[in-house]
Amino acid sequence: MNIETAKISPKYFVFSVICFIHSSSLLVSFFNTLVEQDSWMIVVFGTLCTIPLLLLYSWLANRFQGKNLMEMTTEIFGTAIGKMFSALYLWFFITLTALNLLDLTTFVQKSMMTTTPSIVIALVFLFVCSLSVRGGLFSITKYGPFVAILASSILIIATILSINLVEPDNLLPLFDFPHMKYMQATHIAASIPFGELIAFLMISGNVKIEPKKFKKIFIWGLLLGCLNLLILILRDTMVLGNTAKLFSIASFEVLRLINISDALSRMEVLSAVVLIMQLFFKVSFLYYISALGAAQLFNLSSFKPLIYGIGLVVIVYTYGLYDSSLKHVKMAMSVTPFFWMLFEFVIPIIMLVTALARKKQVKLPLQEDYNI
Amino acid sequence: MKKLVKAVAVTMICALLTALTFTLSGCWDARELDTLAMVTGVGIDAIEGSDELLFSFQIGKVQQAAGGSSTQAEEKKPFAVMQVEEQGLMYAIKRLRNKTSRQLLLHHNQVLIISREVAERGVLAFLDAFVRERQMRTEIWVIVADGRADELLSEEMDQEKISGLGISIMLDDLIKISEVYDVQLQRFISNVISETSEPIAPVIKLIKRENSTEFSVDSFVIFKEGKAVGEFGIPLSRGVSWIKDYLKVFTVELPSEEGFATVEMSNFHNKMKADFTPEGAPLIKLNLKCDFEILEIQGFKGWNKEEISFHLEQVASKMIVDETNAIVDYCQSLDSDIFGFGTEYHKRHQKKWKTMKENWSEHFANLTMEVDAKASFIDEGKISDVLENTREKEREKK
Repeated sequence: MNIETAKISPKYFVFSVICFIHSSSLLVSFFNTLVEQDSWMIVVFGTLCTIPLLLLYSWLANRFQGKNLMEMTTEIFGTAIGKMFSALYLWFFITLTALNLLDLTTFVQKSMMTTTPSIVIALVFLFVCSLSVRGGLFSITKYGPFVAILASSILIIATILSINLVEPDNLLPLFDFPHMKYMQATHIAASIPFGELIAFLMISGNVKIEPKKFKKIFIWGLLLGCLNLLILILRDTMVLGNTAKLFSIASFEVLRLINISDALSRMEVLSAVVLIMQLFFKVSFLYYISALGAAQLFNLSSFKPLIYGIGLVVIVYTYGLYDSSLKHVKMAMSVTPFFWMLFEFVIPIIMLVTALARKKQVKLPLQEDYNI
Repeated sequence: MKKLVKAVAVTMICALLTALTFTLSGCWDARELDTLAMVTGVGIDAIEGSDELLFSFQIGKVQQAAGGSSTQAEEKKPFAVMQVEEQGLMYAIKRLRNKTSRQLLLHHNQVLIISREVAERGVLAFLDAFVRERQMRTEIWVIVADGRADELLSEEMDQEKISGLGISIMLDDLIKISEVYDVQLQRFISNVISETSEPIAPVIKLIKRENSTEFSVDSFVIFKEGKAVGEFGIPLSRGVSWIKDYLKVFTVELPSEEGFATVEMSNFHNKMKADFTPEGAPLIKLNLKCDFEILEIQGFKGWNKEEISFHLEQVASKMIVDETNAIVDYCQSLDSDIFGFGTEYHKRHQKKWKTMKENWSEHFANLTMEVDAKASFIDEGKISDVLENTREKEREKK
């Protein structure tokens, strides 16, 4: 049974998805070295490739109404095999939490707090996240609209302020790289930031919406989140031109270049603040579903006793992941997208086929408080 | 009881977070102003008979720059220049740490000054650190010193005493009102890493007079594969600006046998088309438009204002064409594509570019230009006639 009883409105769900996608701006460096000025296309291709995945996730959410991903696996495969898949997903979510914590720690340490030990940054950050996780689903998603609106506003303001630096010609030439590079980059984009939206199946049963309409809000969230990412990449490419590929965080450099009559300058701090807030949301959300998943795997009645335990696992895991950022990027460009496909595509497809073959489904009576 | 426990727990967490804010934030990354040496300019000079470079760091002294009250402070310069010989920038900074009680802060660096000799030897190798190091900002100016870089950093300017800051402010102003255009590190690097484009950098000359020191920008250096290979003065720099559409507003004297006019040019419009001649050689078509207003006029005896404005339009348009062709000819002779023509062909003719890029130097040498320039007269100032001709015209009336 789902141990999270809180229900959130579709609005909070959409903003959470937007925030989740927009916070992936750090991951653009995984594919912008492959296709340089065409990186913006990868966001479009990645989004198009992700839509069928979201339709698949929405189909599962509709088929197993009120259930989350862990419960779905048990419903479809039975307890033994279901728990095995649940354990795999738990590992996946904890890994995502650790990877995002690593991204945050690296960013803060390299950009701002250069002499502070990264373990202190990770511990303090995760401790604050744990306070958010203790508040449960409502506490985490309530933060989504605030972060999403603030991040989008800063993105638009910074884009307007950088308009005098923009050179649209920097987007040319189009399709200048071998087809394989576009495929590789699209695969990376679709699997690493976008496909990770499968994590939202852990809360699909907690959204106050008619199950049939779930796909609508899921896709809206994806499109709006990707629109933010698209604007960001287009702006960075048009401003930095061929130098965009040199920087791991191109938007940071763009905001450094903004100088309006010496009054508005050195605006990169805004980029840093937004990024930290977005990663706070993303890590909190992934941390929460990890704790929730672990509690369900072990048949506990609450996830709260596991919060600090999972936190410690995440901290230890973060420091065992990669020795250097170079290895992190290399893995993300080669192995990780294929590995992530197992969780984002292969297992959901097996779930779909098995559910159809075994005619498994859970239907709930239509509730009055559904809204969209 | 439960409420009390919860209240105590919340209070303790708040107290802990407050304590963490004050302690953890100050432990490792605490930076007080009196522990920092703020770098306002970096200079790079060559060392005779050595591969190493002489790195000079101009460090601003806050009190003197702000106008200290003590007599001693007034006598001292508001900055110090620290130097170290090293192959790379970052190790030079590390070695300087052993010579000073303060930590070098590069966030506020304004200029990178390269001596002419270093520019001729090549700049690519040491630029890496300026882009890689997180403290460095890519909006700093890249300048070539007409002489030694450390001399520029060691001199005070008349208004802004710290020359690093002064040069930056001077160039910021010049790009708004003159033919000098911005060559910030980001633009310089963009050309350096481009397949075919080459960067340029302004040259700053130090002119020492009896009672003052002047810093003057009179020319630009052209690079080829990271090495300075040529130089051009202000008239030719206008040619670059016409092609690259860098100009905002500038004042120029229009040469004419019949008289003399100083005009202010503005409202520049540039259209560039990368095309091919019937024989298949690259052809750049430029359509340039601008407006000008008369600031001063002498001579033109017996001319009416319509004749003068028409004549000046012709002269200005010809000047644009001549300057544009002159700079392209000069760069062709140096085999340095500072205009980004190669990039333009890459962007507009992707398929042909695949065959062109292998021997772009040859294509660039054979490239022809078609310049269509139109300067339009828009304003004559407060008076409509040439003042010195007015008396003669009055006599003719009578």
